[in-house]
Amino acid sequence: MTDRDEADLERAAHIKSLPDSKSGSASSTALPTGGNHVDIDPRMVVIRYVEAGALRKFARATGETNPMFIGADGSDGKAERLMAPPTYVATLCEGLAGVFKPHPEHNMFLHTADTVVNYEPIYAGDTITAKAESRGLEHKIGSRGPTIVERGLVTLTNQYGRTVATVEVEMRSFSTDATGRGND
Amino acid sequence: MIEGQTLDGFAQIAQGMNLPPLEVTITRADLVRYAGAADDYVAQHWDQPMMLAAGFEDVVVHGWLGFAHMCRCVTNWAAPTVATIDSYRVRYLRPLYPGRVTCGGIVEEASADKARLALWAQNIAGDKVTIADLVLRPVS
Repeated sequence: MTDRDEADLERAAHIKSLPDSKSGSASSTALPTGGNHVDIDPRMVVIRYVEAGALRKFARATGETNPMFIGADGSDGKAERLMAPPTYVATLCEGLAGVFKPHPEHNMFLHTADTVVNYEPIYAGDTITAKAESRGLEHKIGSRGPTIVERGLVTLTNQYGRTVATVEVEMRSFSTDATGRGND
Repeated sequence: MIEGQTLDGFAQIAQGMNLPPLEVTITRADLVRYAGAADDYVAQHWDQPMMLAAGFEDVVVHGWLGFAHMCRCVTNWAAPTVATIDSYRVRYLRPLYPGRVTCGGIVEEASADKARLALWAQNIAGDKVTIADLVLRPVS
């Protein structure tokens, strides 16, 4: 990564425009259904029951010790209404596999950014529907040569039909040689 | 309150406060554990020969795992009973490899109903590998 790339990323990350308003994309991101003739990759919609044991497993894998996330000592987490840790939304983004389409000649991709807006907590016992959609792609010449920057948005809705979070993920794909640099 | 201590209430958050840093050693076993818990089996996180052949130093830590530790830096200071994470924007500036990582942050803005934090994680060489803006709201 060049100094310029890094400076760009630093600036981008410190833009003072985090989404304060929650009136934005939540209601506008539902995928077309019914009579629309739009091809939707079935991998782009994932429905998950949030099981207490899975939440605890995730919390422990990320070093959490807070009882709100793992339950009290000695409990199995079932009696408590465990809350999902802050980054649990990452596990609900597998629909992006149907969104990201790296260039076939690119042998490497890296996850480069996330933007998340939380609307409601996710709890054990919830059923989350995660719908993924493309937010477009750009072709760039980066420090690793020709690079494709792809963005996808996942909208997470609970069993009551309320949006609990939106997750925008950015990936960059490129081709590397044995130095890790681009093959341009 | 003394800077760096755990908060008792949202009103204690003030501009310029530094969060108590969190130091973590991320091991290969941690990556395996996270892959299983997150259902994330992307080869960049476990296929060392592939990563070495592509010129990387090692397998890379899942971006979300590194950021989870940055969030722990926040929730250790402002517990979920005090503040809720409203939104965040995170940038992975360079690959994070298994090893020592230090997470920290500073309060950039604070008001009665919102606090905006600038967070960072740096590797053992002192390079910032991840940065984030994160907004906290008081628990209502």
